[in-house]
Amino acid sequence: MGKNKPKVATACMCGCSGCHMSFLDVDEFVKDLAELVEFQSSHVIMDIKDIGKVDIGILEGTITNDENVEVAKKMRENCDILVAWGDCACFGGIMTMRNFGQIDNILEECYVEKGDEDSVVPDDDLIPTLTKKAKSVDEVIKVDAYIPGCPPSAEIIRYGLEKLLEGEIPKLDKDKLRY
Amino acid sequence: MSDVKFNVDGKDISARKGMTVMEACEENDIDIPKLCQHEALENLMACRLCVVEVNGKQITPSCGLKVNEGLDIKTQTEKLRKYRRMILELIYRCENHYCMFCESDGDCELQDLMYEYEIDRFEYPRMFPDWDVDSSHNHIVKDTNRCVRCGRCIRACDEVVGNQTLNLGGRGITNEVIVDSGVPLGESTCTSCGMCMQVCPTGSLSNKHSLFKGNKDECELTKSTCLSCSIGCCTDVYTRTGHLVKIEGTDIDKESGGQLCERGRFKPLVDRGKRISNVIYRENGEESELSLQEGLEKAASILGNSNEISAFASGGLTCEILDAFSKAMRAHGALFDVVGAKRYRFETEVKRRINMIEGHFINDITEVMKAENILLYDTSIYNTHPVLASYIRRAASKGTKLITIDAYEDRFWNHSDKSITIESPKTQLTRLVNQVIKEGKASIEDLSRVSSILGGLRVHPEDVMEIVNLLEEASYDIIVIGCEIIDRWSLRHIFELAKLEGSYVISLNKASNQYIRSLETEGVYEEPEVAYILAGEDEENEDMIKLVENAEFSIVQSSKKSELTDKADLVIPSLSTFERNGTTIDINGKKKEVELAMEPKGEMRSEIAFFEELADKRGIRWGKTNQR
Repeated sequence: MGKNKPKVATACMCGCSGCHMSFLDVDEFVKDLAELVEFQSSHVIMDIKDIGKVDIGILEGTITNDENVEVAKKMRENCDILVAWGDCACFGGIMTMRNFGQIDNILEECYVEKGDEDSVVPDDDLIPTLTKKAKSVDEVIKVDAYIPGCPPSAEIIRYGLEKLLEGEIPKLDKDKLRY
Repeated sequence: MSDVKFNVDGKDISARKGMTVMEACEENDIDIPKLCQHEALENLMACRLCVVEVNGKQITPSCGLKVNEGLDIKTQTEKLRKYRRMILELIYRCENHYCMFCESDGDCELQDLMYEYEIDRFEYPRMFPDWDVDSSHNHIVKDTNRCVRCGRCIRACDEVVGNQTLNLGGRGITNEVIVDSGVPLGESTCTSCGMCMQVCPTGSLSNKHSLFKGNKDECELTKSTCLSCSIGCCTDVYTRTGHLVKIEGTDIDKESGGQLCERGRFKPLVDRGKRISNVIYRENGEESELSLQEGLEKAASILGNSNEISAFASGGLTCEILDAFSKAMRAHGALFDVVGAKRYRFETEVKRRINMIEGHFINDITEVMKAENILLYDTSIYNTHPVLASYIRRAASKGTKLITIDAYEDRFWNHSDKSITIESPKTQLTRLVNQVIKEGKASIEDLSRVSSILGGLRVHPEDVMEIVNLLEEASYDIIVIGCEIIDRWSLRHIFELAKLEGSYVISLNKASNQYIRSLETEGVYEEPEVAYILAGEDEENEDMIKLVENAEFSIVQSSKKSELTDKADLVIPSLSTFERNGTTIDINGKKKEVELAMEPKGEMRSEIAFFEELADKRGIRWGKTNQR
């Protein structure tokens, strides 16, 4: 870790931001945390979206499109320790439900069959392309620490961060593990 | 049995010969993980999670390994943990086991094991097979996406319920639990007992009516007794914030295997009849609401001014309530009867007339599983006493000969060796059987002659001979008589047959509480001035409805709106089954506790106090009231 305050970046991929909400539930620990670490980027507490060089990189959500892959790779390149927050990042989560069917059929069903007469499947260069399958983070990049839970409770998130600050890789034992 | 000494994880333990290593470890509080093993079922060795190291080399499932002198067992080595983690992950990767959107989240044995083995990531890619969810059944959802192929449901359906509805179909990755020969569950031979659901370790088979109403930890648990029939199964009643969530069977170690039936497990969850919370009084087509006290005064004055009162109670009430009701009604000079008591009175009368000793009557219904032959009169026990029906099916599956005699469809058609369809009364058939046994073997020609003398009967001589031959060969046969048989002659002939052949008898009646055997009852006036009905859960009983229709004035006490309460002149609220405390007597004569699972809703707090006060209006006091 860095010589001064360790730097932290968090990002949410295809997820509900529930893990980040749960992170905010650590309440006054945020104050302590602000003194212990420096947040480089985090979409729930600051405006900076661009991931820079950090010691700890935290990812929430499933990888389901090109942009998610880019964010995950960028985070991996820029951080020393990469943490997966929540069931989506660790296992794939609810988004992998789409893997039970074919992506074209699902898009067709969502946008055309359930829409009105004029509905079409969106097709624009600005919209990230969906990956063939929804994936957990470690199917795309190497993950160092896993904090599953849907969402992981504030205590578990705090436990994970405290372990990291002590220089250890957190591993949830059977009493802490809850999906 | 002799003891075997061996070593588990460095600890010397002893076990009885013939036990498995898993059973011995369980007795000694040594934890071995398992998914397919269930104490009510035979071991299958399907999941392989219970693997142990034997003598430092072999790895084998402990549920299939018999104890042996000097074995050295290790249950928790790093190697075993690695294998178990691998098995768990492979189970997970085959289907969709995400906890977050599963009804069994928090009540799941797979989830518990995943926590125990600290699985926070996957090593293997997942498969995402596309399984359909089968929700065709009225009460059970079958979701293969959550299935671990442990085979518990299949074994429960076969070994406990004796119904063989569930099977394994397909091979390799297409392997799944199928229903009959691959039909939807709702169109199958399923008896809807819900046993498969109760033993399912995951959310693969779940209760439609309890879905997402809370897992067991979030519910309050009350241990009680089912009042749906006289078998009196022990139940676990789960409630949350005063509402019923689910009901499960508990007698896992007994013959019943912890099964319940459709009525015991599902009916209370489905029954959403409108609750009766006020006294309703109807006069000249006008309906008015009264307070409970006013209702009591009204009932007392009507009863007090009448000379012909018929009081009729449900057989599914506790002993205490039946007692209080009968005393209150007798205080007003009423004739008193309970559902099912009529059959019992006939039975007693016939027994006395033919000097039949009590030794012919079986005190333990599980005995049917030991019989060589079962002669079943009236197959409606399939609906009225489903757990006894399961014992009969189990016996028939294991080789007991089953002959059924019914006026309608044989509900045991796929288990009975012979189905005889003969309209009621069944007297003629039984009478011929008796005659043949008494007078020595007769030929079919002789029988045809006899039957023609008896008036051109619908009895086939072949049927008679078959029953005769069967009963004469076997040394232990049981005659089961269903509740629909209520004519004295049929009963008499069946009892005489039992006496003649030394057969044992299980005689059933419609009362769930067999307290009726010691309670004094008599027939009631069919067209009384006043009928007082305590409906309990018998609101669909035809005798009750008839009585209400025939009475000049009718009082119905019930917990929910029904045809009965619609026709009554005075409706008084009562408690529901789960709001009562008390005792019941089961078919074996055993006293069982009925526990209060929910606080009473509405004005009625205690029916006993209500009846005490009703009797007090005629100056008759008993129990606590005396000490007032």
